[in-house]
Amino acid sequence: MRQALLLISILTALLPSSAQQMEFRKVKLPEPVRHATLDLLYTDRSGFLWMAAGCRLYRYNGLKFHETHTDTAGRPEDVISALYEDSAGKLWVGWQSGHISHVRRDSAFAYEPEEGTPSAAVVAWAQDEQNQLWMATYGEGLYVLAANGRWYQFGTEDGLPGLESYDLISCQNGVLLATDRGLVQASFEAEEKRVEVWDTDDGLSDQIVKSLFKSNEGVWLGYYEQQLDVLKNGKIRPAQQPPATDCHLVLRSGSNTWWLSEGGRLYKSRGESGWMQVDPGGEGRMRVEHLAVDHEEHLWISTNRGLFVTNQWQESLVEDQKVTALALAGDSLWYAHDGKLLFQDLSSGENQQVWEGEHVILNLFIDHLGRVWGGSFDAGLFMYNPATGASRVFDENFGIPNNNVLSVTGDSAGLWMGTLGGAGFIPFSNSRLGRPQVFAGEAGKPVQYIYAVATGAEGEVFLATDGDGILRKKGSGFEALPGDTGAGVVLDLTVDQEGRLWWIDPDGNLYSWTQGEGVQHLKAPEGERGAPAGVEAGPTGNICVFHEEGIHVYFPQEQHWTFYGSSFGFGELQPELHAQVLKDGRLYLGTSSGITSIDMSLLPGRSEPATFLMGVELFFKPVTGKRFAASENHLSFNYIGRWYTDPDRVRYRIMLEGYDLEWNISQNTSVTYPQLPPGTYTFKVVAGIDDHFPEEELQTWSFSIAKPWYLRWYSLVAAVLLTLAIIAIYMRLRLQRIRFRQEQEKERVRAQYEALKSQVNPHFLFNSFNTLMALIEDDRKEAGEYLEDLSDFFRNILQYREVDLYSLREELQIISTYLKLQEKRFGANLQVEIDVPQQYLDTRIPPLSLQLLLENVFKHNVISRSKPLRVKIFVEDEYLVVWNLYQEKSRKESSTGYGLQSIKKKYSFYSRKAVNVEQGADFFAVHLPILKNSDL
Amino acid sequence: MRTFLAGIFLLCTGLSLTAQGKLWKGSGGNISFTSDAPLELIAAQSDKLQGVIDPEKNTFAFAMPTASFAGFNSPLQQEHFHENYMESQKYPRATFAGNFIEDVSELEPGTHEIRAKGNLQIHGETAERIIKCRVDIAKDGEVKIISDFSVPLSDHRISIPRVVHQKIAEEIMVNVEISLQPG
Repeated sequence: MRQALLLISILTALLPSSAQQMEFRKVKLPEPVRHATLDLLYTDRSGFLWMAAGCRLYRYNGLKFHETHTDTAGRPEDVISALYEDSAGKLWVGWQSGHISHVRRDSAFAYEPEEGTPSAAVVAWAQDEQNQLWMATYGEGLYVLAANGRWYQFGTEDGLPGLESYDLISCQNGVLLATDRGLVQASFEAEEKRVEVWDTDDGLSDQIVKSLFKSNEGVWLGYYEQQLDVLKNGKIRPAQQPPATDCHLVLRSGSNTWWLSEGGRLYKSRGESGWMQVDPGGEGRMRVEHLAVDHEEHLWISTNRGLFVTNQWQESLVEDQKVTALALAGDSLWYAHDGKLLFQDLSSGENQQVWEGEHVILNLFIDHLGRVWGGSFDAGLFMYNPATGASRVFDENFGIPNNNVLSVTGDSAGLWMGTLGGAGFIPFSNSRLGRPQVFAGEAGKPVQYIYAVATGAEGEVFLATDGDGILRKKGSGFEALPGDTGAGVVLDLTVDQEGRLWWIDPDGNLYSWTQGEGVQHLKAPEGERGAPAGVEAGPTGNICVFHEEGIHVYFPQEQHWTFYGSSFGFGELQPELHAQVLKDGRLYLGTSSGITSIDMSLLPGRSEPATFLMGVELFFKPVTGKRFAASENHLSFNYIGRWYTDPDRVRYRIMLEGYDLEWNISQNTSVTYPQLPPGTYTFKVVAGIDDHFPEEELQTWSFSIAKPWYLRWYSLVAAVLLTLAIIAIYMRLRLQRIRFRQEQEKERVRAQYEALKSQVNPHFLFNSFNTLMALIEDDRKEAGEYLEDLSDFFRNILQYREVDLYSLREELQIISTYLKLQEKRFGANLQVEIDVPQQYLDTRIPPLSLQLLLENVFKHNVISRSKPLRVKIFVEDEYLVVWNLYQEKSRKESSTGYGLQSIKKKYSFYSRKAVNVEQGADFFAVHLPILKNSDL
Repeated sequence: MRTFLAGIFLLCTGLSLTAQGKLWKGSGGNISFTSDAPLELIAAQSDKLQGVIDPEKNTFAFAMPTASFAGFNSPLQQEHFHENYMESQKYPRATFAGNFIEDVSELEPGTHEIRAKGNLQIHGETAERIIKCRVDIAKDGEVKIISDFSVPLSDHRISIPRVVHQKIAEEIMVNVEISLQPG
């Protein structure tokens, strides 16, 4: 049986080459570019991708194509031929026609310098160290925009070998220009043009320089023919042999160089292993137009069959085979598929089967002599020597501890193996093998399962055990590492370049140990990652833990974990146990579906979106200032989390400080706040994934909305003052009216009293009674009438004393009774004329005003036969006038003067016109204003 | 460009160009092409290629009447070639004019490889090309130019019906050989 196994070791079964397949994703393009070819791709300084198709220009954020309006009026056939963002952030657009425009706020504006624009296609832009902008054209040579704002042209008279240029790049002093007739170094200082030409005599491999690319190594020169050269410090050295002619575009990222040939074919080269054609669509006959690498190291490829994107870090070397073990020696990648041992030549991509056993190969190791050792499940250890083609199987009969060999490693001294029966060591002496030594645990204890073995510097050996943690070689035996080693089950271990030991437990937790620091326990953060399969130390000290659903990387210096999962294309990684090799920054991973190779240097160190606040709009129009009036209260914010890795997963945490009380999580790339009240606000936004929002990406925008005029302090003060004033005026008016009423009432009461007093004036009564007595004697009948009039008079007085005003007609009736009484006394000596026109009879008058005036007249004037008294009552100029001849009595009647005073006061209540008293030499007149009903 | 076209014109009408200095010129050059498609091989040739080189200015101009292509597999093929694809009536001439990348004025007798960059006009459509050629200079001053290059049909707006897709290659291989005498 074993002999049969040995006989199976037959080599050479050439397998179909499926080498180095890239993962490409076709990007869905929107109308109207869905069926167009993107001529140009450009990554700006913020990391956004710009794409041009014909005369259309787009900015792409991973989800949406945002079109920039280009000014092609009259030139619809024009094509965008060059894009460049200068250090001030201005995006320059060069056109096939020689037209130039620049982009401002999503629109491209024509740029027309005084010197005019070229009439040849703009092919490239660059900015030198003095920030002068250079422009290369195909047909008119080179232009530079000097600091004085003027354009200067470089032509053949300035030393250019030709006017047709292909590419332009900045260099130490000025720019490098690629032309048909060599490489041109041009500079412009103090209005002095300097041109230096390099051609084949100066070391160029070809006259026709088609493309330029700058990297740490220098400037790469891509030729029409011949190899790539690198120019550094004025020296040209050959770099790489290209696979075809016409190196149209060189792009490099990480350790990969890419370039594009004229035939539209895309080639890639990795390190020194040569060029390989890459076909993004996988269907051939595809013409590649342009390439760009974004800030997250994705390669974007525009072709006539659409736009493709790939992550450059991952490629698959073997597909559709379960690869259970692998090992790397130079360019030879050895791997195991079930019981088969195969190898792939990494430079050619060829696969070869060299050996086949009966049992699954669990691990591979290549010793210092190039021999391949493999441990198998249940069939012991085998060795294959590629130099001789010989192979050999070692089992328990040879002396190894157990036929289940889970791990093989070693150094020039010998081979270590971990088995289900303990650890074993086969010493090498020259090319011969010594007798195996077995370490199966202390006597009396059960035999240990050893899952993995690792060797360190100075002969250190560590064993990963199932339950006893790490065993470290000491003298001729092993002892357990002191300290907390978790549950004691060690799935895999590795020793990094500094001699530090790292291991993982079956939960994916990481541990480290050094002689000085002892054991450290690094608990892995919570998360869905699937079961772990192994651990490897990377070249930069990072520790990679391989899980079913991705790679968990620990950065010891930052003490930070990052998980590279489905977003990075590792969602279905499914690595096989211990089947990982890390070499020169590149990881080779045996998985259940083949071999995946990952360039660790290209994996983005940061797996987080970059946040950009793209613009602020007021009523959907862009704003410039940050202070708004009260009515300018409808604000929109546009923001983007740039993360081309997986833009669908980007979420935004936003808050308008001063308005929102807490953070909001949103998927939208804009937010609108309508009808913001006056105040001071700060808009904050940060993009993130998986509920992790990096604080350092927080973008803020502060602004203020003013209060409306009626809410400002001076308006409030004015309003308070106005209210107080109104109240004060009202109070005063009210007070006035109350006083007026009081006065009026008082006056009325006094008037009544005075009237009564005057009417029961003893003189009047005495006179009246004397008159009555005389009449009784003369004419009893007349006396009766007189008495009747007298009582009428008193009745009237009683009747009207409660009344404020009555008609003039009533007053005239009362005084006619009164005058009748007086006529009886004075006879013809009293001549009273009353002439009041009909239309005044209904005007109003305070009661007994005329009676009072007449009484005054009779009281103060002499009435005798020799001096008859004339009295007239008439209307003149809207005044009722009581006029009498002035015949003063020699003996003055005592007078309070109240009568006239009282009348004046009453009239002041009812009329604006005053009562006028006119005193002439021989007459006396009182003018009472006529009170019309309508005036009251 | 205009001077080159004028050059061709003068050349074709047989006028002397000595006034413009020392030129190399020749006619009766041989041009042949093959279209190697999966189902059908088409080949034809013409000996009506004319050319002129101005070594001092490093410029050149070549022309040939497309109707002069002969030697097809069948008369039907020839008819299709001239009527459907080349439209020889409408576009009677194929030209290539431009300047050399390498300097031709100081070439020693012997064999040299130089590149000609210029505008190739076929079927009325112009495409800029860099075409590599072998230049043999004999001791007596005769200049022989030999070149093989390919012409993508898409560069010259020559579209092929899908039905005959398998009969015509997308790129036509062209072979040129012409002798020029210093004049």
